[in-house]
Amino acid sequence: MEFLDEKTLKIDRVETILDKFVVEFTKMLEKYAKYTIISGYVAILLGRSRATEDVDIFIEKIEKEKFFILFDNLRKNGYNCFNAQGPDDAFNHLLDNLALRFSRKNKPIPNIEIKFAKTDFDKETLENRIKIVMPFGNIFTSEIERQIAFKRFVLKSDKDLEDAEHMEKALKGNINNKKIENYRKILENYYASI
Amino acid sequence: MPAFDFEKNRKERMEFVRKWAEYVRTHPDKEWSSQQKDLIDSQLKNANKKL
Repeated sequence: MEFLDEKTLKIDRVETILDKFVVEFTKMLEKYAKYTIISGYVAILLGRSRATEDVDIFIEKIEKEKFFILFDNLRKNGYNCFNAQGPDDAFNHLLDNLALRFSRKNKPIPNIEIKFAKTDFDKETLENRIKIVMPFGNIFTSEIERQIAFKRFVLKSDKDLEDAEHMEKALKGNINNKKIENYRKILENYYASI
Repeated sequence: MPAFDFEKNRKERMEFVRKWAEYVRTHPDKEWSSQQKDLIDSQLKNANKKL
């Protein structure tokens, strides 16, 4: 793994079934909305020794018409949204801050959950995304320090603490601890205020 | 039967996470990701078979 610049991480990884699914889906998604991948899949990209059934993605809030085209194209290309009845229902889910879950038709695992970036922290996560460059395609993820802070100080399950530890250790020498501390303060203030 | 020691298990898991992360950091991406691929692909293939 090598940072080509502050916002670009090159990983010369061998493609997994999960990677293929994510790269194909995000290639379609990015035609319609800016996105960033968050949560466990980021740790997996950085080598964490575990799988996941779902990949979480924030997207920018887009207009209904644009979303309908995206939804239609996903369906035409073999994706199934299994928690909405149709495009209208799906868009309302997003407006209600609920996630939409997509998978390949008749193959519910793996799947992708997409959500509008709602809070300021979500929007900053989207704005400050980084590019992951791989031999089989590029994707955008949350900044690593942000991801570590969220897992370590908000989610805090054993799995999340292990993910945070893995990311920090696997990228030792490239992680900005001051940033993690800064995100910890922002997150703690936010969750104390709601 | 003695009670399961969750704390000891947690520490051992974290120790493994640190060792594996060190391996990832110090070995070529292709090497660790080939091992990761075996794990991920087999889990996902099996998961869909069970449904």
